[in-house]
Amino acid sequence: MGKVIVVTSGKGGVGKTTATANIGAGLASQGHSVVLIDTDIGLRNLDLVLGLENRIVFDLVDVVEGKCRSFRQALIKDKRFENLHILASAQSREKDAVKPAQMKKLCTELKDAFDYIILDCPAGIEMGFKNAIAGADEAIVVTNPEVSAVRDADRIVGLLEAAEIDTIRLILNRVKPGLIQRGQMLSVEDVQDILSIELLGQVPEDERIVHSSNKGEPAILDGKSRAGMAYRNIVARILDPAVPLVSPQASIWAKLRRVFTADLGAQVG
Amino acid sequence: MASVATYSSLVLKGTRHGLLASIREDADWPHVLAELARLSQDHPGFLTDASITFDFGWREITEEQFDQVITSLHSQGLSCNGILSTSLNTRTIAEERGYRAIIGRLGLAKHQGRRMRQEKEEVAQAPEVQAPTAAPASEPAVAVAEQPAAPAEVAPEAPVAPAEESVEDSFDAIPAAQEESVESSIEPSTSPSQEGVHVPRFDDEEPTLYLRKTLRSGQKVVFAGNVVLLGDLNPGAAIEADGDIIVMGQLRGTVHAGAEGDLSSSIITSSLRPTQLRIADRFWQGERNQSFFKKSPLSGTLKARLDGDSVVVEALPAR
Repeated sequence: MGKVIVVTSGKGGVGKTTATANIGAGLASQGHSVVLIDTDIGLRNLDLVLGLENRIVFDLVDVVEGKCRSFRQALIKDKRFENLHILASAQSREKDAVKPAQMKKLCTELKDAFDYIILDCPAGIEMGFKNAIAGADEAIVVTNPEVSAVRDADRIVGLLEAAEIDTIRLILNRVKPGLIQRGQMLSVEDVQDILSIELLGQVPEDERIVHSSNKGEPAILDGKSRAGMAYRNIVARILDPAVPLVSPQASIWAKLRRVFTADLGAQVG
Repeated sequence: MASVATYSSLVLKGTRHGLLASIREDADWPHVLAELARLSQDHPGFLTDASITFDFGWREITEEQFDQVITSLHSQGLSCNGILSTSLNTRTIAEERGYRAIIGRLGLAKHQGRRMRQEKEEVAQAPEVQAPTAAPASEPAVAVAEQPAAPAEVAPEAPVAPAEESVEDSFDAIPAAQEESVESSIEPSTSPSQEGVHVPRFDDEEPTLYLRKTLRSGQKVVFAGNVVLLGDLNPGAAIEADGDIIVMGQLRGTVHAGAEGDLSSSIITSSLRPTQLRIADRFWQGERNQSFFKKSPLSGTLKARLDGDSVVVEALPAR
C-alpha cells in the first residue's frame, strides 16, 4: 500500500515543483516506485523540470475522463530512474476539469501499484488545491523565509488541518544562512514559531538549481549542488524519520564575523 | 410574560449575524426534527423568512438528515444560512449542497444541559431528604430558555423523558473533565446556599467559547460571548467576541473584544504582539515599527482595557 503525499505552499514560486521533482527522483533512486502527479491543470511544468515534456501523450484530465484505457497508459517513465513515473497535467484545460472525488479515486488506484504518489499542488487555495489534497494522506508544505510566504503557508496548514490531513511537514526553501545570521532574514526558529509543524528539511538558496531546472535534471543528481545535498537529506528523512536534520551552513567568513561580534558584544556588556 | 417556547434538543440564539440554532449532540434525531418542525409555529411573526445558522457540533449528519432539515425549514418558509460542525463529512455534505460550512462548535445546547443539571442539583439539595427519582423526572426534559424556575409550564407536547435513567445517561455522556476545566475559568460569581455550599450560577453569565487549538491565518472566530483560546493566534487569524478574550499563547493576530460595544470588555494574554487590537470601537496602536524580529518589551500576564477613550495595556501583578 503506497502513500500519497501532497506538496503544497499557498504562495507561488516558493519551489513546490522543484521539491516534488527532487523528492521523487530521490525516492526512486533509493529503489522505491514513485508516481509524480502534476495537478496544476493549465500551467503544467513538472514535466519541464524533469525534462520529459516531449513524451507526453495522455495527461491527468485524459485519465479522469477515461480517454485512455488505464492510468498506466498515461504514465511517463523516466529514463534515468526506472522506478520514477510522472502523470502530466493538461495544458489546455482549466482546474475544474477534475473533481476532488475523481482525484481521490485515482490516488486510491495508484496506491495499490506504487510506493509513493507525490502530488505537485498548484498555488492558491481554490479548486486546484482542493483537488490536490483530496486524496492525500500526508502533506509537505514548502515555504520561503519571507513573511508573505510564511503567512500563506500558515493559511494552508489551517486548511490541511480542516481537511483532516494529520501529518504535515515543512520544507524551508531558499534559505540564506548568511542573511539569517545578520538578522535580515527569518530564521528557521522564527518560521517554526508561527507554523509549529515538524521541520522536514531546509534547502539553501543555490544558483545551480536554476541551471539544473532549465536542463531538466533534478538537482539531487548534481553532486556539487548544496540544494541537491539538502534534498538527499530530506528524502532520507521521509524514508526514516530518525535521520537527523542537516542545516545549511553559513560561509566560514560569516561564522568568523559572528564569533568576533559576539566577543565584542560580551566585552562591551 | 410571553410564553417562551421550550426545546430540549436545541437552543435558539439571536446573534449579530442572524439566528443560530445549536443542536444538542446527544438528542435523538426524530426528536430534533420534531422540534425543528414547530419553529415557525412557536415564534409566529418573529421567524418569518428567517435564515438560520445551525451548530451541529460533533454530531455526524448524514445526507438524508441534512436534507430533512432543509426540507423542514423550507416547508416553514425558513432557510439555512450555513452550518457549524467539527465533522468533515457533515461540512462536506453541506458544502455539496451549496451551504456555507464552518469548522467549529459552540455547544450552547450542551451548556444548557449542564445548567439544567445544576439546577436539578440545587433542587435536590434544598429539601434534605427526598425521593431522588420523584421530583427531577419532569424537569430535565425541558430546556427553559431564560426561566429556570418554571417547570410547571411544561409545554404539553414537550417530549417527556422516557425514564429517569436515560436522562441521566445523556448528561453523563458529557465529558465531565473538559467541562470542569472550562467552567472553572468562567464562573466568577458563586452564591452561597443554605448550608454554606457554594453553588455556581451561570444564568447571568455570558457564554464562553473554549478553544484548544492554534488559530491560523484566515481562520476567524466570531462569538457572542467570551472567548478563551488555549493556543496561538497567528497573524492573519482573528477573534471577535462580544465579551472578553483570553489568549493563552502567542497573540499575533487580530483581536476585537466587546465587538457589540461593551466598553468594559478586556483582553488578557501573556504575549501581546497583535496585528490589531480593538476594544469596542477603540484601537490599540501598539508599538510603532513592529518588526518581525523584535521581541515584545511587554511580558508577564497582560491586560488590555479601555481607560476613558484610549486602550491601555497593563501588566497584571503576579500573585
